[in-house]
Amino acid sequence: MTRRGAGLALLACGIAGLPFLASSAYLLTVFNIIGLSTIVTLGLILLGSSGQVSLGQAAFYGLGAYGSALLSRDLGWSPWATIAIATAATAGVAYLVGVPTLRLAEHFFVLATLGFGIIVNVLMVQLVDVTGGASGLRDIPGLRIAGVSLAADRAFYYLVWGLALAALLLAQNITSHRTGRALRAILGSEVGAAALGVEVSRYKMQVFVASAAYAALAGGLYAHYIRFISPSPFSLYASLFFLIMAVVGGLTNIWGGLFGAALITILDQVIRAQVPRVFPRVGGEYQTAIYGILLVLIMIFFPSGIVRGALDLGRLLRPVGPEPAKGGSA
Amino acid sequence: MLALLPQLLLTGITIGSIYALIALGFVLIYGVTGILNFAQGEFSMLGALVCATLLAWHLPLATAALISVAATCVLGALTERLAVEPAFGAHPLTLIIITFGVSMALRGLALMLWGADPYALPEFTPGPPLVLLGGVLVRQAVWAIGLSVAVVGALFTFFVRTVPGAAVRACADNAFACRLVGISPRRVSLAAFTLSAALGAVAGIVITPITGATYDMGLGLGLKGFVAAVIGGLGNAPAAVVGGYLVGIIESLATGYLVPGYAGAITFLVLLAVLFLQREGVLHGAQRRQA
Amino acid sequence: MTAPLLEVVDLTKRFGGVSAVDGVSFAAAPQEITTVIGPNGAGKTTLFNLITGFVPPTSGDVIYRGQRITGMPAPQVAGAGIIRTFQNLIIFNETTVVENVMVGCHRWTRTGFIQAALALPAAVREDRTVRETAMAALALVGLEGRAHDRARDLPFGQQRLLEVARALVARPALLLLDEPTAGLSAQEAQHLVALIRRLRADGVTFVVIEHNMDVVMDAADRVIVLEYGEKIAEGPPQAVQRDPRVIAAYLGEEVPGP
Repeated sequence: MTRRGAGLALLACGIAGLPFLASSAYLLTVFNIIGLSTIVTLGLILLGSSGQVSLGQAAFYGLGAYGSALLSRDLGWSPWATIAIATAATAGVAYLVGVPTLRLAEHFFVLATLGFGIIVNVLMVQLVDVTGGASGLRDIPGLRIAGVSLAADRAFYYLVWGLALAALLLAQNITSHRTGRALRAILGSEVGAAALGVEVSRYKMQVFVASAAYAALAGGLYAHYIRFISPSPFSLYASLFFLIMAVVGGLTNIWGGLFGAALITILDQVIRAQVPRVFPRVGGEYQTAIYGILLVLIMIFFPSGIVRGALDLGRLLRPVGPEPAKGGSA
Repeated sequence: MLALLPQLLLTGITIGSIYALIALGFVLIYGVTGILNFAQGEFSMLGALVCATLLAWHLPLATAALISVAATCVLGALTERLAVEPAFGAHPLTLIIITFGVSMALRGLALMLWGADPYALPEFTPGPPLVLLGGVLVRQAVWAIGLSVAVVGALFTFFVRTVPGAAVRACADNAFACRLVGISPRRVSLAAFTLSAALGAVAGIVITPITGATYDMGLGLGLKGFVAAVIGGLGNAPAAVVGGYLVGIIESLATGYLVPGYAGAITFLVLLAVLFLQREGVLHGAQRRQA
Repeated sequence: MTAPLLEVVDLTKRFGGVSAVDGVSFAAAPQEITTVIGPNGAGKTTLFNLITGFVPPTSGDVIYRGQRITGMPAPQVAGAGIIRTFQNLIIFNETTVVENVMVGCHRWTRTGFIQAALALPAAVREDRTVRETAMAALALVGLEGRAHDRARDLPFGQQRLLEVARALVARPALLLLDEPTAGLSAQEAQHLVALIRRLRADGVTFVVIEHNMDVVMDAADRVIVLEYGEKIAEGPPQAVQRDPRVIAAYLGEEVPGP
């Protein structure tokens, strides 16, 4: 508890103080996006710690956003309630997707999440009467506490980061107890885990549902923050984006999620500003080239994330160290 | 309603022959290396766009097509050497993410090089469309179906009738035995990626006169090919080819009888259904691999 | 006579046309040490896979504590108290030695997803128990000094012991060990046999696949001999060793042990 608790407290203080140092509206928006991305990424990392990867995370993000936006806008329910309902409903959808696919080998599951993501995105565009089609939904109510609006960037900042830290704490707890050990065992070997009584399919399902709930929660917050949603931020490209955040931080490393979300969001801002100067003709998703290459490089050179990779590298470079005894069965 | 059916079937078979080629590319790589290559569709995109560019440089169509297939082969080989081979033996998850990264990278690079506008290729043999069984078939569709059948036939002859083909099949069955008789699995993996790239490029070039080519065509083609391969069980080449035609026909019928925009979603509903029907669970599969 | 803990009745598994296990029957009484021997490819590991639910049998039954468990999924079989190790070792490579062992406690611990997420006191308490149990088991196999090393960094023999420790903390009623002494030094093997005896005294029943005839003669109450998936002999070690069918079965390859 102690070291982890201290780390978390320090992080909370840093996050609480940040808006006083960097208070421009632009920076606050960036921080808020980082906060939302952190929540989604944490879900992916939970999933990753069981050896699973989802290419449909943006769809769950989108289901949370559209679900909450529609319920609050058209039925007039409180956004707080609708975020909770949309999150729970999305978790239910994930369960339905998981039933047929989680028992299959890794690549079938990945494929299914990819297909699911595309179906959801197609529906967002096609169900014009419900979703507003490609032009999206406007006039989504903002969040309020006791009559006070949280629409302002700074107020929302504290909300999203409070929730992101809570999400981090929960994920940290899950991975550091019996459940987390079972997940890591599944990652190591499903056969080995099953031989010790770990109900492999049940754990995979739980963590998949949790990851969808994380994404949906962030999506709901997003909808009531930006107050306008359209299908494009929930496409396959967004799923790639979340995946690379998780991979940069280390697909099984909870704290890496925060790092990955921050690094990639900032990198994205830089790329968006700089690349058009070099390649004036491009529009759309040219960044995917950079992210794709980054993804490949990280998986080859730092499969456990940049942070841990750098640490390992440091350990290798350190001149003299306690050599771990290898070989020779004492 | 029914009057539309022959036309829809013809369209389905045309596009299905393309999916069959791509599915075959998947099966080839999966069979030999156990890797699901998410970048398979991008090979089609590259073949088509390179060919369109060469044509714009006033090369004859046949020359342009051959060069672009060759160029895509090189790219397939590079993909294997630079991205896949360094991670050989890693967790399957790692390899899945890598090929997904490659596909995203290729698509993004294509966008930078070619922009977002569609490119066209002329029909191989221009002329009025043929009328067949109450539907019309553009001449290029005959090319697509014919070439696909020819390529599939040639591949089967190679794998069933020739010694190197048999060697590759043996490797797919048992990598260890393969090393024993002096065939390097790494070389076979390189060959599989190269050949799959060629299959993808051919598919992309043949279909472009009908559909046009854009930087993002690879995603759709690749995923449909995927679904076809999965319908066929992923390890079974003839079944993957049948799966390709099936996906093409389903998609065509869905486009004809439902709102066109939903056609893409239908294919994936089919995929989810197929996955649902998969019998073999992970554990049993893993155990069998171990045994 | 006490009721057997495990009964295998006419168990058969065919892969394609080949019978990997062909009509094998045997029973293991509580606290008995049964060893399974046989030439390579005799179907010993497949027998384990069938008993533990990793491979569904073609026909026949597995009965445990009087209940039919044939075809039950592997995690449930383990949950019921039948724990196995693997011939070619399954170690969770990326985690530490002690965490590997802690996974073994999964069967009898209860913390669920929500309790873990909220780090409820019960979860924290249980965690402490699990860690202590794991450390004790590591001490038992002589690996306490390596508890916090990465499991993949252990040499093969120690990984074998690690797997045994992990199986122990599961508190099995029936422990199936697949070649537990392969890769161990003579001293380590001896130590392991002593450990098996001690656990038997505590109430554990063993079925052990073993190639090392010293170990078999030393530890086994009863020996079952498989050849081409069929049981060709069964009895006390000395009797089996003299059985002409067994000797014939082993003539094809080197006779194991001295």
